[in-house]
Amino acid sequence: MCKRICFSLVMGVLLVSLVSVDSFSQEKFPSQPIRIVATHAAGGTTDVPIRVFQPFAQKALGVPVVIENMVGGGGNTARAFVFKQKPDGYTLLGTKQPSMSGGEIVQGGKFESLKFVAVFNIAGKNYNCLAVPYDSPLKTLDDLKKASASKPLITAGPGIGTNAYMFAMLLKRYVGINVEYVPFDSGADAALALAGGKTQIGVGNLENYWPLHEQKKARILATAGPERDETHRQFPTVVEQGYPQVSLDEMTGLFAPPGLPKDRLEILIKGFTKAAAEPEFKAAALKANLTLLPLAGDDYYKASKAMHESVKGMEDILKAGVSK
Amino acid sequence: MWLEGFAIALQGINILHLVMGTLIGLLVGAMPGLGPMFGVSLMLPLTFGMPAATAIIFLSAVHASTAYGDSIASILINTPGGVGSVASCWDGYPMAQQGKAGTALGISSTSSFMGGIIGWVSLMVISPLLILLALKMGPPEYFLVAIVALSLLAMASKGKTLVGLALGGIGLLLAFIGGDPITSSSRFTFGTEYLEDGLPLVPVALGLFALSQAFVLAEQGGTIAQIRSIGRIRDGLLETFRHFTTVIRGGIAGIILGVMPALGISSASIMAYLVEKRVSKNPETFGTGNPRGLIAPEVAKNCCIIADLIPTFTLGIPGSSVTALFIAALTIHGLQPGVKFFQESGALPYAVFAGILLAQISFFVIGLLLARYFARAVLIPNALIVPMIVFLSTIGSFAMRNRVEDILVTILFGYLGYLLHKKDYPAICIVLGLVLGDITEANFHRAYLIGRRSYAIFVSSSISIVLISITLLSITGPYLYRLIRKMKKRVKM
Repeated sequence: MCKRICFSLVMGVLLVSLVSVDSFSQEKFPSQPIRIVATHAAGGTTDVPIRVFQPFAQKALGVPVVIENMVGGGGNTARAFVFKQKPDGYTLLGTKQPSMSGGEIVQGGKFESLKFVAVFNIAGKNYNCLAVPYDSPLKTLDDLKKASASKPLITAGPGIGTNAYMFAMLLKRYVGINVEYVPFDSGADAALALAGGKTQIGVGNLENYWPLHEQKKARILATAGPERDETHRQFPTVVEQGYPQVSLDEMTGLFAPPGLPKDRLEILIKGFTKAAAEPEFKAAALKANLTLLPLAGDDYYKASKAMHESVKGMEDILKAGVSK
Repeated sequence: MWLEGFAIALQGINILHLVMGTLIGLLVGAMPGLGPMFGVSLMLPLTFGMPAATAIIFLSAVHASTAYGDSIASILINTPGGVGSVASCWDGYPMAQQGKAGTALGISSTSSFMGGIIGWVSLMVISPLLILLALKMGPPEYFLVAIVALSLLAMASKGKTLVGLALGGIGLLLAFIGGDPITSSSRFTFGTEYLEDGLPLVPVALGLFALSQAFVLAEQGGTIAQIRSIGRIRDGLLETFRHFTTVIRGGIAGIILGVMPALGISSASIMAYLVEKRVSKNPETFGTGNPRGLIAPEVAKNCCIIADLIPTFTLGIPGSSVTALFIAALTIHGLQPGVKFFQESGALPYAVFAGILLAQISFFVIGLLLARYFARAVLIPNALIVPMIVFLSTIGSFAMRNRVEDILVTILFGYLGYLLHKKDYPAICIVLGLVLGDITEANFHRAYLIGRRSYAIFVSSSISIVLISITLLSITGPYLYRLIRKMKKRVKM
């Protein structure tokens, strides 16, 4: 009990000190902790790059950088929350593109992806893949196409509007594989359903399917990126099998609410660029299997905008895949 | 290899982290609303600089002891420490009121420890078999598991069957608030972004149980323990050993529900409680301080959190959001969980598993040592404990997602819980409906799509048939039993 009282007192003192810091030191930036609101749970593919980056960002900026996981709505809860925050540089959004644009366009998220200020992109190339149960007779894209001619193939994937969902819809339109998309609560749940033979196709992050492929429970047929994945070069892309339109790149980075003053943006970019150049950060990223893609300010905005436009171009296909 | 593994796990630095992890876990766990997920994600960044074995041992200790610590607040102040310990309130708190808080904590420590050991042995010995079961389970089977649980709803209603069913229905309706899990279209959100993700379970449970309890205690005055005693911790230990079959049943519920990635500790502990009540000859004593009503959910909860690790180590994919953090910790240290984990990493995997076992022992020993001091909370005057419950439940509600709206939900359900308490209606049923609603609806819709819009999918596997039979038996069982007894009597006459 005593411990609990002590803990409460410490919490109280912390809160009071935070409030006083807030009211007395506004001039120098940054002078308070910076909060990164991540769209997905701790330990996920959105969270890990930010977590690996965090200690280095903290060191470069000279203030604590705190990660907060605001899970919900496939990432839209956090995006809508940060969109409305004061643009003072102390609250940033950690999210993936193009899933942010997907969340806005397909699910009608209450934010505008292109109005966010693009601050710094950390990682990229976390590709999705297409897999079938290990003992499935369908072994190529053509097999899938033929098999789906009479009735759609049941396809497991994580949520509507996610990158995996977009990949499934691209396969439907450009490769001609007729899919019936069944959304699961997570990529892992979808991968397990496929490995158990409950669905005919599975789409999702390579990391979810690779262990199952290794154990001969699933067979990865192709990846979604514009080029082969660096860590799994054995898997061909859909692009190299003759479908250049089916290419889905990914980025994980940081955005600020609309209206962030230019001077603060520059300070953040300078700090993050310095952090990303640290050899120790690069080593940590390599160990965690991350492919780095440092992009700052305008460059990041351009890349994000290109992804947004490609999602916008697919709006009709993406919306058509939602089962009723 | 095992010896080597234990030798690594027992190095000074690892033991230090084990104890530290246990103490941190107990502290986080005892805070209302903050469960293993919160504890492990809070500690994850700290492990980046540690050696791999130390990191995993530290996280295992935090994980196990947060789950155990969750029950402390449930038992002492009727405030669920996390989603997994809602069921521990139902018989734990009445025990505390009867002056047996220490005994209840003894039961909780011993049962949690036994749950952990059953889980660990399963992880070591039968995980390949269990994983086959997990792979056989798909949306139709998950839907039917939820239906089995719903069929037990009447059991949770303390003799007020109709009211219980109605409240369960309200819980189900509340579960439908938010985005449709399949079509993603919004329902009953009144245009607010807050409700898009549905009503959050922890703030609702904190309101219904903790805050409402604060109102009741404030009215009562005095202390939580109605007699000035906390009972003997040793009695709790012995009581648990005396109900060995309850431990086994709880363990089975924990393993089976834990190994299925779509179900977690909240369903495991509640299911274990309901099953125990169902098989009991005196179901009316549940909810009034029956030790079996505390043993079953406690065993199931800690067993489930270890069983969650089975898909992680056998398939390399997470069994729950907490084990996703374990995977993150392993990958950040350059280790790849999955079948090759044992083949490629030398003695390290053995150290990791030894660490998981030591984590169970650590929280058991430290928990028993501290139980006496924790239990004294029930002797503190309500005038002091009530503001503390209000403060802690508000903090707990907010800390999960850092949203002020969650506190409003807690207050609203606190008031509702208070009204239900006044009428002696079972608030548990609302929580059950809320927990099961999501699983039921999403998996029904998923199964329907997988079955190409035919209901035949629900009877297409042997597991489904077994689950349907269990549901039918659980509903008609008591009537059949009475009928058979009557017939026997007649034959005798």
